[in-house]
Amino acid sequence: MIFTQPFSVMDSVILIILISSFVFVARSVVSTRSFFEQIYRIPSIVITGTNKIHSKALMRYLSSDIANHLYGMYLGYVDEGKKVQIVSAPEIIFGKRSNGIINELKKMNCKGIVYIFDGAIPLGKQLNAYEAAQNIFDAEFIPVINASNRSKKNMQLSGIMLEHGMKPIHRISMEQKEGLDQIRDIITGS
Amino acid sequence: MTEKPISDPKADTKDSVSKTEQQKASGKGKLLKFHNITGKARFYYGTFIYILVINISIVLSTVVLHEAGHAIAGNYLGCSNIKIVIYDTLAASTFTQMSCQSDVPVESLALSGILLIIPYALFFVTLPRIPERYMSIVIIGFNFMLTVSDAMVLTNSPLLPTILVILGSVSVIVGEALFIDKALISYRKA
Repeated sequence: MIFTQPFSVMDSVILIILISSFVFVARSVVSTRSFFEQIYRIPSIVITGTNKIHSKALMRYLSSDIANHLYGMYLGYVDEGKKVQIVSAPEIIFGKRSNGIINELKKMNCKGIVYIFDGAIPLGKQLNAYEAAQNIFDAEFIPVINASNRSKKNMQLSGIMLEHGMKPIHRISMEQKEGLDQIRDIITGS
Repeated sequence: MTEKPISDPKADTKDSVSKTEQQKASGKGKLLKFHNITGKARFYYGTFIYILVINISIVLSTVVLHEAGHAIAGNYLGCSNIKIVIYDTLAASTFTQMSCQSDVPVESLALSGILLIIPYALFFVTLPRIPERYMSIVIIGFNFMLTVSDAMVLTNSPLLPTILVILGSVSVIVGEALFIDKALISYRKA
């Protein structure tokens, strides 16, 4: 007596590779589309900065529920009515290699950019990234210096920022609740 | 180690720019930028490879356990010369061969393929809140597909094999979709 299978082991492996690859690609395409559709829908405030830990931490503090995320960008709502959304985007998104994402971001109804500077990171790099972000978004920029680390570079940084015409500059401690509340007030305008 | 004077705020910017130029000339900056930009792409490639490895392992083990189910049932019902052939260059598919008395119920032997599959799938169900638990649906679905030729022993009607193929394919696709969706979300969070 012989119990045979309808296909060989190799056929089984090929079949499962095809199915899982198809599902993986389909899921990636769908999630990309849904993310961008969501960020076009209502006005947004972008939180960014060279130190992505700060923008991500701020995002988690401001929005209890992360609605969607893609390519390191997170989407949430600062108000319960969901009339304004906040998008945390890592500064690396503004790089030249991310042209596809930049074109999508340009379609956003962006109301303001909260840009977090950090004295612990090379200043030239931060200013280059800031200028790159300015070329993408036609919105009001709110420069914030992370005052958690009392580095001498923070003084140097605010000097350079003033030279570049950035004002008002907010000095906010990103590691304290009060600091994060201050940013929430700036965003909500209260 | 000398520290730059605070009164010269642009010094750091200049230094950083010239450093970037040097890096560009040596190709070092390019490599660093490439490394950063592809961080998200590396996550996708890594997850995709992981998904493929898990799927191939699951399929191979399901085939073996399905055949082992037939062999164990045959052994219990008094059949002799039992052998499982996973890969045979002469035969196109995997099969289980045994010599049985005429009074041995063929239906029981045909249905026994699922004997070991059920506890195997249940093991995945009990996994605590991780994406791999959805592989239980893939295991059950794939087993339905393997049972198609066994079903032909039970009935001459093409209805049962057709139902098994449809049910199996749907289960595999649904299981894969759930597994991949949860894997992409939870591994990114981690």
